[in-house]
Amino acid sequence: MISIHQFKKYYGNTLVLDIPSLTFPSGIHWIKGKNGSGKTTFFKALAGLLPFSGEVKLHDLSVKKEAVAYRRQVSYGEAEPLYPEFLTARDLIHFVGKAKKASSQQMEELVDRLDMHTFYRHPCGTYSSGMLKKLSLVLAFLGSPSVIMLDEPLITIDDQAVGMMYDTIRHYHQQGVTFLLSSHQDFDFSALPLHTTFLVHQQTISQTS
Amino acid sequence: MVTEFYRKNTGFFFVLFGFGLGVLRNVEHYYIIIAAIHSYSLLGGLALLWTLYLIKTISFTLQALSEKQNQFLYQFFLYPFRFKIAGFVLVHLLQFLPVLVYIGAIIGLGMLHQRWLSVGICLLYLLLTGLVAVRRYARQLTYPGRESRLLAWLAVLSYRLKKPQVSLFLFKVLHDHKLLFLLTKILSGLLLFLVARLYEMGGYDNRLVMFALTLAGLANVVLVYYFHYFENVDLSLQKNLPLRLRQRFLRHMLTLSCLLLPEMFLFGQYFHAHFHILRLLEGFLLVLSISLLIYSYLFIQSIKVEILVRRVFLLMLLYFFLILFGLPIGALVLLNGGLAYFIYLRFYYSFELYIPSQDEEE
Repeated sequence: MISIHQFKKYYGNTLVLDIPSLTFPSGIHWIKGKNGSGKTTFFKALAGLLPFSGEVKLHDLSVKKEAVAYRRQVSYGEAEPLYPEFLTARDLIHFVGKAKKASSQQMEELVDRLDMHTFYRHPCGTYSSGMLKKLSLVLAFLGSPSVIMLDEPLITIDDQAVGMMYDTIRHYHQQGVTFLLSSHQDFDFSALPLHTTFLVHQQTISQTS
Repeated sequence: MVTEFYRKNTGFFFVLFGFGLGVLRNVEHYYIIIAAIHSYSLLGGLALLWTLYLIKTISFTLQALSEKQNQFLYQFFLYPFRFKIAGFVLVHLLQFLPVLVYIGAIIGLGMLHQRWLSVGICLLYLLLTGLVAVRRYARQLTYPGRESRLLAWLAVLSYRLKKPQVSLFLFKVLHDHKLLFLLTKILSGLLLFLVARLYEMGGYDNRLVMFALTLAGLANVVLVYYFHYFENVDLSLQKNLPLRLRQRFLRHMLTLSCLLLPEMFLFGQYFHAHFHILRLLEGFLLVLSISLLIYSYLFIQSIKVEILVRRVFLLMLLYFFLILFGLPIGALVLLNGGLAYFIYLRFYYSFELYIPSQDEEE
């Protein structure tokens, strides 16, 4: 369970998010919002990528005080990932996998699932946006996280990969992983057992269903 | 292309003009030029420096042309031939302006002193460099996307080998900052070489060597800046990884050590006969601790590279006085290293790369 208290995020002097209190129980949650509403900023702050004022906790682990333990439990997949163009998917998967103590078996399984073998050893500079997206999704699933945040997980990937994505999310969810998903598109509700929907609007986040 | 060149190299020009107009006086420039028109070896030495600058300008333009946001510039290929050539010449002349001014002064004084061969060499140099630059830009527009041999070789290496974490920025340097790396190492190498010669001739005290080593470390400031940028932008995902701060610090320290290997090698090479092994080690650690301090300092707040260069210039003055008044180098290493580690622990997670707009700055 992720709990958020007195969360405020500024860019320069501009307040972009102000969340007095919010809780995400276990399950799959959909975070909706227009472009520029602050979804990505919110995810990045929760992932420990951006500083903010206030407190974010996963159970008793604080993103600020138990930085390592918290990050072992919380993963993030970017909406429009960009990686150094000279690195290969293999380099990045091993770099992230080693830090998250992922097994070689898990790495291979995820590469298989998202059908990345053809470009696995090629530099990221040669990838299409869909290939980059698949790589970011694989990186987010590595290790043993209990929360995975996927920012716009369905954009730029083809229909076949979307199907595999739904399968992978369901598979990990059955093992107890909580998902925060942001998307402009509607999810296939029959494919994913969505728990709640939240709306990012007017610099805050509220539950809509 | 021209404005961007000067904007992105503000730090470089700050140092260049600081030295050229602040340290060297008019009369000294005059004597350098007079000496150059009478000595072909000195003129050759100047031509070498101008050529390094030429490489910098050409590399910048080629790099800018290969960036995605500038792809629209390839439409320029469709313009009439004369128009294209005039455009390339204009870009080259404007980027090469600081050198043109200097060569203009040499030509002027050469004519006054009737050193016609020196004048001819300068004019030929201008013609040849112009041709090289224009030909290179024309080829880039005609054959876009062609990889250099080094990049092709790196791609083969990438396919076959997994890159160790410590080497990631070194690959970035080989990929995007080759020239900066080369110029930095030439500058710091030259400095150590000159001090080594002085040391042998005059028996100077160790403070001179340590100050030269400090300058060699500080000369890496732009590379350190790019390393910090690389870690926080290109590899921003690593902030989400479950790594202890001391692990991260150690990894960054190892990368900086690799980056500083040329200086460390040259220092060992030139001074191993004069210094005890412990003094050599102290020198290595001094260079490393300076780079670490600059690296950690960048976590306090987002700053532009030109501002960093100015602050490092002030730091250089501070080091100068500390070394001059005999502060033990070991103490300086501990001070730098300790401060770097403290800043790193304090600011690593709270840092956010955010360059304010001009309006916000005002």
